[in-house]
Amino acid sequence: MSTRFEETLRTALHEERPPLELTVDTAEVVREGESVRRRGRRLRQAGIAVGTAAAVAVAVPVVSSIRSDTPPSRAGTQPGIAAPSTPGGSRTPIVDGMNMQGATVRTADGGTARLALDTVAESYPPQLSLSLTPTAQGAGAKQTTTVTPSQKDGGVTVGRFGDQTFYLVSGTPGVDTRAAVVSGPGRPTVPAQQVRVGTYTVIWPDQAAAKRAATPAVGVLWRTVTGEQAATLPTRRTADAPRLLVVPRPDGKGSALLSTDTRTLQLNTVAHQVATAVTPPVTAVPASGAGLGRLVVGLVPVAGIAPDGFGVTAKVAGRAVTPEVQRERTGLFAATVPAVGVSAASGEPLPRVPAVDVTVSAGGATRTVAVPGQAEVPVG
Amino acid sequence: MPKLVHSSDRTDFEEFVEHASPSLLHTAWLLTGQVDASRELVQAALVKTYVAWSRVRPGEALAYARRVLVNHHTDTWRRRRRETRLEDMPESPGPDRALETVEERREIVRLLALLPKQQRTVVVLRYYADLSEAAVADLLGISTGSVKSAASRGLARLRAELGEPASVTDLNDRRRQA
Repeated sequence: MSTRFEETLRTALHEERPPLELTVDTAEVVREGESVRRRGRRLRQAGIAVGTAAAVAVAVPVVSSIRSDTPPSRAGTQPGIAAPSTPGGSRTPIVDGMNMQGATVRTADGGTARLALDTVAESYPPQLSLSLTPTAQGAGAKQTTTVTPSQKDGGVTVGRFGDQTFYLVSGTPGVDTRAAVVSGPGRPTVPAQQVRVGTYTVIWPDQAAAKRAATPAVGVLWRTVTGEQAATLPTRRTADAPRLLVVPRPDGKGSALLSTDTRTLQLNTVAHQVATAVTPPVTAVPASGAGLGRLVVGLVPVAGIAPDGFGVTAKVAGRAVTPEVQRERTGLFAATVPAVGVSAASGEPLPRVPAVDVTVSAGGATRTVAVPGQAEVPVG
Repeated sequence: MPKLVHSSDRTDFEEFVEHASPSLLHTAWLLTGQVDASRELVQAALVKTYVAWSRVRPGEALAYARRVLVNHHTDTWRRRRRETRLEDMPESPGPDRALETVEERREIVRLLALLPKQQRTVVVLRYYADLSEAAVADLLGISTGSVKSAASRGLARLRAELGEPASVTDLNDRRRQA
């Protein structure tokens, strides 16, 4: 027989909803599994004693070279592109002139240094060895190195060279080298540069500005060839820690970062930062200030799994449409109005930039905001 | 040498992943409370399950994958515990909370982060995975007594954090169980 508390606990654990972004890619699992099998066979053929093939994935680092055009999460996992491994775990410099040369970054002392990727250990997850070499040949100038695990797409690893923090994401950066490190409402957002290292991107904050800010970073924003990405960082779960939500951009090209300290709502893209005072009980603001159309972000006081009457409706040129709503237990939400068709329900052509209204209801209160529809709405 | 994974096996495995991943992700989330760590944990468990797929008995795949997940979680924790920084640690909530039922349940989940590693794992396996004490003991490689002790202490800590003393009813339940 269970106690009442045990039943409550059991219910709580079953009711808990993991974040929507927590998913697993079946194809990726199969690719990784095949890679482990192949490596296991190669090692056995080479007469190297290993444990189970499964153990190879985690416990035995196998260093291999990677090609700069190989997707990071698939490096060495696909037939035909798997680079020869180096049994025994010795480290092999990557074969990429650009990466061997590295990229220039500005250090906390105002100087410059070359940031380079030295090796990639094909463990699970792959471990990157990075070096930072001051360009000035002063007496105290010396190279420092660090080893950082990589992450799958969208994941961010926090790395450090001494007290200089950087962030590592998979995939190569876009042409625009700007990035940003966000600390939440009321705290400075630190500009950053993004640097390609192999098939990864290092987001390198303005170290001097980061030191001046002296606040923990809660999210990063960077640009890829396909759009702009946002990700949250592990943070201390204190009462005053900002609440965060990664919001998909309505154009499908990446994401933005929404944060609040319950007094201010802040939306960040790499180039924009929009802050709005929270207006209980329902805060809803268009994201146009951050250059995003068809998007409303906000905060409602009651969130989570309770049926609290939360609802979002939208109208485009007077016609009701169904918005796509993302809502977190933190109370943060984002509503994306769909791009409408060539005509209204009545058959009349829509104006070039139709009027879009979004109404948010929660706890008996409602708030309606007008949202720029953007010229991307197709017009007949 | 492991057998090759044939296409039909691969299809079976893919179906297994589709079926099992929600439960595994849920378990990993309760164990870690972190998106990246949960994803890495489940990915690693499924990769190992894939490698061993030809040896996994039908009907036991989920249990196998869960075992791998928990073991990997334990191994990872052992490797990283010395690297854990203070700023990553959750803070104990204040005592002045008037909690509604749903809010209280969500608070319980959040408070899992305060439990020591083994207590948290035992609580999740007992009350989310609904495993018996013997099954948890077998999975973790510890005695049934240790499972009972960890569960008891874990629940007591959660109660204490919620400001909820052991009730007379619960104590009576305990006595009846004994």
